[in-house]
Amino acid sequence: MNVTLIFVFSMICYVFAFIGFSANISLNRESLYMPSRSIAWAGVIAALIALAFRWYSAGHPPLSNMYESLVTLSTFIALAGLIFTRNQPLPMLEAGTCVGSVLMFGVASLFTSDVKPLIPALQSYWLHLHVSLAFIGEALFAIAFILSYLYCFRKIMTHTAEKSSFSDIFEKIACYLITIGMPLAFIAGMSLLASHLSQHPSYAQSWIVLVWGVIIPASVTTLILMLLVWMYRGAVHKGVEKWLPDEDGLDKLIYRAIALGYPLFTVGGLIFGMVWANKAWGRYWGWDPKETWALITFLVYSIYLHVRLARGWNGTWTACISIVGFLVTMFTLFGVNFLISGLHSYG
Amino acid sequence: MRIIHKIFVSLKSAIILIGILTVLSVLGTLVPQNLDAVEYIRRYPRIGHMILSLGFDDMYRSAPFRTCLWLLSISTVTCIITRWKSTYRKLSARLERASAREISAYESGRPVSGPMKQDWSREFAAIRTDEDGVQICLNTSGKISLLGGMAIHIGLLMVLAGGLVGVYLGVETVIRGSKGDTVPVAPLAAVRAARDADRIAREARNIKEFSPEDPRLNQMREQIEALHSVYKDGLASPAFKIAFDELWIENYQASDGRVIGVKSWNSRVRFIDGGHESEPVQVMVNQPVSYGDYTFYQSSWNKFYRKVKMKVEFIGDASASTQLAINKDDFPQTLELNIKEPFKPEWSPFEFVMADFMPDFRIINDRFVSVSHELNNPAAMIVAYDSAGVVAGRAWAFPPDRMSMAGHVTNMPFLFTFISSDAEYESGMQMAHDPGKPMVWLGCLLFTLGMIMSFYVPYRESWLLVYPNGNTRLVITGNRPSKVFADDLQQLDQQLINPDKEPPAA
Repeated sequence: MNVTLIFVFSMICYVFAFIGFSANISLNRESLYMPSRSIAWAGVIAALIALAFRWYSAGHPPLSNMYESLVTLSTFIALAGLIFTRNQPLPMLEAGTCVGSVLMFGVASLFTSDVKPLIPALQSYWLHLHVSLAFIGEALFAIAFILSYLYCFRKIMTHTAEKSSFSDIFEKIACYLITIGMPLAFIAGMSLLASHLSQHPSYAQSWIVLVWGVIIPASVTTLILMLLVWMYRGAVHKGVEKWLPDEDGLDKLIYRAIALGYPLFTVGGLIFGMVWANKAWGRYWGWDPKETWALITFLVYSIYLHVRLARGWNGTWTACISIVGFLVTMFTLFGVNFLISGLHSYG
Repeated sequence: MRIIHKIFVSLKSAIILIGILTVLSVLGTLVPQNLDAVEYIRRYPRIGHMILSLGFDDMYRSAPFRTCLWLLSISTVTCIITRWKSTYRKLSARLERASAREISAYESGRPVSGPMKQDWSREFAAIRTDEDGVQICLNTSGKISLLGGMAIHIGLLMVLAGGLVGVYLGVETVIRGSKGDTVPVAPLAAVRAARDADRIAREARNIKEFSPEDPRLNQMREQIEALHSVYKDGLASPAFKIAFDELWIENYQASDGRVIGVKSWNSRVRFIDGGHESEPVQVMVNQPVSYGDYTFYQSSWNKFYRKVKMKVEFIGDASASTQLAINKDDFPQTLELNIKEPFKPEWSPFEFVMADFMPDFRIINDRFVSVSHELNNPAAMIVAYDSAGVVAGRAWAFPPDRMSMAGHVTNMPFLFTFISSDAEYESGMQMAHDPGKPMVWLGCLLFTLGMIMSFYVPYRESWLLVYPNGNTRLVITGNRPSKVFADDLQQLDQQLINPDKEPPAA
């Protein structure tokens, strides 16, 4: 069975689901919501089947290299999005998780998809526990990131008649920076990655795929979306009011996603990682770059949880910390592997 | 004192400390660690001195990082104490301390939807009447959730404490051995001495780089010598010895029999403690073995070539052959050399030393290197010494098909041709002792339990206020959004009302 084809089918489902959710919001057709959700579910189920086949054929869980890790994380993000919204329809979030999954799969396709046997260091049941739990945590952080982005988007689309204080102005500036800066930062990050890959003979074709498959489509889509939002800002404002919870509601949802993801990431990514490192390398902590960046991720989300307890910090600033947290998570996943070498160089 | 207490008890201080710790951790991954001082100056001419003076060349042992950890620990202790007070109040006397005003202020509250049944009080575990005659009734569930935050912070503190114990009392080193080797393992005190000597030596190198006449250097030299002698004594009377009985590799094979990767590196070892010998045990990656004070982990694996077999031919026209009485008819000869071990054959006026052996020889940027451990392009450097110990000549030995290269470098009367060499394995085992580990694991367990209690166990308080005028207010609150408790509120409401009577008109 061609597993890659199933993954491609799954991605096509996500693209159609995204179109469905977008039509649901922009055309104000509630009848489109459930079919879009069903298509997204079809994509997730197809991806899960493909992962199961890959696991069966390789004899180990699909978590042993960059391709497998990213495809698994892509599936987890889509699945987490659907489960998270089971009681509360949030088409904007669901559309976001579809985009996130497709982009993650796009980046995964840069890496070789060959099934290889496990190297000695990875032959441990801790691989299942450590990586899979950490990925579930990261998928929930991705949900929090999308919700935080939507929070900022809502903030700039909502006009208040009251006179703005300095703090409001700063918050608005931060929201603008995030709403416009995030897609640009993604494109810049991918361009850096392409430039880095172009210097490696083994990635000779990959960087071209990255440019034509990810960077150019993402740039064009971002530009078109920004133009459309600017041109139809009145309609978008109404859509936001209708399809997104209020700021307080979004803030609580962000907290919920992080409150669910933080313990899973901490136990899976840090504690199980420590136990495994102790078993494999004789020490539970060695300040390896991947370990250190996992700790940094933990610290950033710890700051989020503490800041949220402090009075007057809810809202924009906590959303900003959630966004920084996810960027750190992504750097831990990609940046450390490409820019900083260490013991985790295999994945 | 009061101000200091205020600072540490403040949540903002904790946030700032975590923020500083985050920034320092990021810097630790961006600045290369544990290089020599001169290297920092060379790489970072502008900020090299600052990196060294702040100790950022060894970030995670630097004064700023450690200070931050200490301050965070103190902040955590004050947080535990403060939390305990409020948690204890909630656990022990929640009903007694609650007021009708506080409860009625909860937004999610509402009146009971109808006349209450006669025995409504049976639905509540605790009831009291306040000074205004208001009956305050309470049911709680998920009280364990209140202890979650405490467990998280105590767990964190234990992890930090365990880490600190490990830093001061733990040791980590690597021992290597080939098949048949018996390697002495020094006692803990000796290994600690070696660790301290390494640390002081690195500090001394850095000081010497900037002020070679620094008076501290002599003292440090004495310290290092004293510590080295402790280590040597430890090796002379080891805690025990490890015998490397067998080293082998298991490979993955494709269906056509091709090797497609390493499945496992294995060492079979015995521990020899005085007259007592342990049973042979297998050590492999992810399968460590403990003996005495140490745990041994299969951490590295090296393939090397100790012995090389060569054919030697006499070439009369080489410069070094003049004045030598050599019988040409004795050649070719076969020669076996061990790396770095001098050997003088009967037929030779010289003593030979194989100075280097490269199994996969390449010339990269004018440097001779081996690009792998496989015998793809073997090359051995042979050095000949005369009877006075002076270098008489050097020659490369290559396989027969590449011998044309050897002619360019030999200046000896002999031509060496590589015949064979058997690979030997060297097993590198990480040897560790960390008395702080149990504390770290206990801390991790507490931290995990704390997170489960805090984030996944819902804490719920169901309140009913019955005013003297007959009015009621029903509230459910806890550590979840009020929407989550909406169904429970409805259910409690149904349990309280009298099913026989109609609800009052709105």
